Amino acid sequence: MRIYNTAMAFFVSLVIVACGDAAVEKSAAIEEVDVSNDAPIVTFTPKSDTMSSGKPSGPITVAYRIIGKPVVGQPVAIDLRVSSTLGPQPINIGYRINDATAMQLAKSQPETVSLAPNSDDQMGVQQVRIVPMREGRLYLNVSASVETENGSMSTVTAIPIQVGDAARPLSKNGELQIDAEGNQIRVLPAKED
Amino acid sequence: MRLKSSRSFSQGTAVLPLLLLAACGGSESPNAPPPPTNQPPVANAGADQTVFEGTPTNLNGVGTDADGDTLSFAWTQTAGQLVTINNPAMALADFTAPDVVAGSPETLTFRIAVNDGAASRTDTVNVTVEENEPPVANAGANANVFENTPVSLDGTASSDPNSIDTLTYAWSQIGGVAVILNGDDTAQPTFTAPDVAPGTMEALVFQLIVSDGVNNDTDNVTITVEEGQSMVMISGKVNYEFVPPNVNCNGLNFNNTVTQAIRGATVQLIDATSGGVIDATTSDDLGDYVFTNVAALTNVRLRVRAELKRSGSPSWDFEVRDNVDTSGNPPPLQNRPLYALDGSDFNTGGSDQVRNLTATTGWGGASYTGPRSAAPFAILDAFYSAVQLVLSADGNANFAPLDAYWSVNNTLMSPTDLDAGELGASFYSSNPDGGAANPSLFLLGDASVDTEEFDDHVVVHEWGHYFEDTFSRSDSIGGAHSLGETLDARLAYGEGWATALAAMALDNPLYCDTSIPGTGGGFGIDAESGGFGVQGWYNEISVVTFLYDLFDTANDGTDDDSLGFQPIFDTMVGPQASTEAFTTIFSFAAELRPMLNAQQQAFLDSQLERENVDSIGLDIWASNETNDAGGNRDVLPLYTDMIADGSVTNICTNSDFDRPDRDGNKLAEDRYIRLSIPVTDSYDVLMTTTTATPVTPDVNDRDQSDPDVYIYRDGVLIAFGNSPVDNSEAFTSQGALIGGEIYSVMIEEWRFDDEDGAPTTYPEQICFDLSFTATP
Repeated sequence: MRIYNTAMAFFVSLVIVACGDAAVEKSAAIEEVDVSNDAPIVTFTPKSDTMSSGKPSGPITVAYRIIGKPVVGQPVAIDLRVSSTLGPQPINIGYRINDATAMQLAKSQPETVSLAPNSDDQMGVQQVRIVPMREGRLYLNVSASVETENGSMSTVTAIPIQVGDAARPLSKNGELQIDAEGNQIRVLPAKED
Repeated sequence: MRLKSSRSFSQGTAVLPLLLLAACGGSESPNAPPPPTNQPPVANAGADQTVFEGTPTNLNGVGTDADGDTLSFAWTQTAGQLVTINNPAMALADFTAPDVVAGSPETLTFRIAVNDGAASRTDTVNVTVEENEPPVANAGANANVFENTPVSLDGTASSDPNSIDTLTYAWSQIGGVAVILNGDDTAQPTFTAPDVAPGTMEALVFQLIVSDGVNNDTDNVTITVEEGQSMVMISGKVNYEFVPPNVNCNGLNFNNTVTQAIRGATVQLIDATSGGVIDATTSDDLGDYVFTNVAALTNVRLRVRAELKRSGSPSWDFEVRDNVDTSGNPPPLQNRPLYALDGSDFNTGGSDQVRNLTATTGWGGASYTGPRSAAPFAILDAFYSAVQLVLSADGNANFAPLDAYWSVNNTLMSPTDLDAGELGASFYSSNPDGGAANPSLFLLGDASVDTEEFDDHVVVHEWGHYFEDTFSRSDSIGGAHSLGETLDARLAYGEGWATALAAMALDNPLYCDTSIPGTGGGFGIDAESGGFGVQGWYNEISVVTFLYDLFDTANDGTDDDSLGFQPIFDTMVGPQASTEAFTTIFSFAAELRPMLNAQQQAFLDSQLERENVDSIGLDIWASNETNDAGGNRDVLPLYTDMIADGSVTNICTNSDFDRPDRDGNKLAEDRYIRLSIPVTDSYDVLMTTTTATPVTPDVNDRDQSDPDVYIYRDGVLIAFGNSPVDNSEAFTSQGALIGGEIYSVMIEEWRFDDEDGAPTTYPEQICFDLSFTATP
């Protein structure tokens, strides 16, 4: 996922794909190598040389920019740009916080918003304000749905908000062991009958 | 009114009396407070009891008074067989429980009255008298056991009619070869069955005496020891739980979790003591496994490794591993821990056993609360399905090793940091770890953000890129892409291929991508009907629908035939892999067409036309294509014809389809050239920007054009120029280009891709003069 530093905004897009996530630096050097019909000539491949595009993103995508540095107890503004390839349909936005001990919506922050496209069929920037209640990596879930002729289409995107410097706590799943060949394995328990 | 002197006495403490004066015809103090009101005592006759007949029984009365008054007590019997109460005027009294009829307990009721001199309160207690009946010993059922096995006797079924009795146990052996009985004073003692001569049996007799402290009872049990099998069979099924999506792909449907076979995985029988592998096998398509000739009386456990391995022809080597390692010194990627499913330790005993293992989801109803054991095996089984599809076309296919990396900690974060479990997306990489690791999939698993393990179409979509990479060829340039977008033709084909392959392999046209478990988020792609964006060769959904309808047997609209997978496979691994043009729907369809008969060609054409791809004059270069994405500029011709004779061609790129944030992978951002080489020679390539790019005030803006050129032959990069020089790219091909050959050339405006700084004011269309000149 690329981080776009534009002059206007610094949105981190959650359009989900990795391509050349390791940014490809342009090389000024031009190698001269032997040419034959059989041998591959060059070692450099443009754009994505190591990664595929990843899975396609849904028709509704959410890009976000967190304004300022989140601090416990202080309101944090997050600019959202919601895009849809489903045409100039209104997009219904909902904000959900799974862990009420982690954050709250700021006062007067509505839980749902309906976005309408502008004259360029683009959605304007929508701002949501939350108040972190503790440090750590917190998540604001943003649901976006559009009514289509085939029914409602929706997506839920988790926006990570890092409060403080605490590293993301990692969850444990299974036990690390060494197998008979001396290799690491992560053992998960089975249900038996 | 008589004055009441209220005296409060605490033990050993004298308290001055309080004189209360009341106005009654001549009080000395008309304003004196009224005398305090007496608070009555509290009586407590004690808890109800059950006692045996003939036993001395206490009546445990208690009286309290808030005023500290002296209390008097009086016990009386109010119900039941009359008894003599000893010390009835004391709080603690007693009597002797009378005789009662066996099996007919009798309840006696007693009342205590507590009086503080002014008030009295009472309470009652019930004492149930029963006859102490003898216990009943039960030494358990006779049983046959194998020699040298641990045996447990069971006296827990022993009982006593009196609820208040506590039993004691005493076991002894009274017949057969003497054994050492452990815990002979417990309800369940143990011993080890002795060795017996071949063909013989030995009867061991044990006696149990239970006592309630007064009465005893005995029972015997016979344990017959026989010779066991020296070798046994261990068999069973290995399964995993799979969670399907909700309707319309709105989240995972944990209420409809199904149990499915773990197919083709390595199953090991592990020595529980040493950890060594006793035997290994592969589960079949039903998840069945069997180990024969396993030594009896051995402590073992079963293990299922998250791997599919087959040597010979066909062959494959797929593994599911955990990529996350924050130790600061992680091992190489392909040495990260492999997932495995373990059963508990057990003894093989002396007879065959069936043992089934199931990898569970870990879902607790509203969130994951337990080990997520199923996930690696769900991923593995998606691979298995994809393999079966390929084998249907080539039964001897040999698959390159592929690893899948998944973790509960794989979350969505940029930039990608595999050690930390931070992924820009779920993706496939042909040579991760700088080429030191196998081709690999990296899959999200953080339940707070997005998980992939049960989105089987997503897993096989990524596997589809692996297929292209190892069996075929893909010229896709990758990058961010959303459904319905107008993409570079190579990207559209690569993504459409991967999604269509998932639908084919899983025999399900509905591709679901769910997001956060428990939230109902997600979206779907119906490979039968498509439905996103403008149909055309630049739309990945058009490619999905086109490919899937060639394959499937369901008839809908113009989709009234089926090619099956074979010709699709043959094209991908054959001519598509070596096509002169870039890999697009044009190269695929044009390379496929000659393999088909007339009816099939007509069917192919109809499917192309349905997706707004011209079938008339179809060739790999899209020479006769007329769909220009709605009249947009710089779309057609897809390939601009040039001859490397020094002539200059002006060609433009634009980012019209790549707003608001550019990714550099939408239609017309890269332009293609079909380059004819007249003579074998090295060639000077000159590409000069002809569109003005105004300088912006911000010195950090990368506001000047940066043209780049890449020259390919049959998909192999032959020469390139990608210097950072503004407004020009000039280089000599890295070696000779072959006379008479056709090369595919890609040109691009790097600023459309540039992550770091093309300003928003940068022109949306950039044009170049391009020439190829044989070196002097």
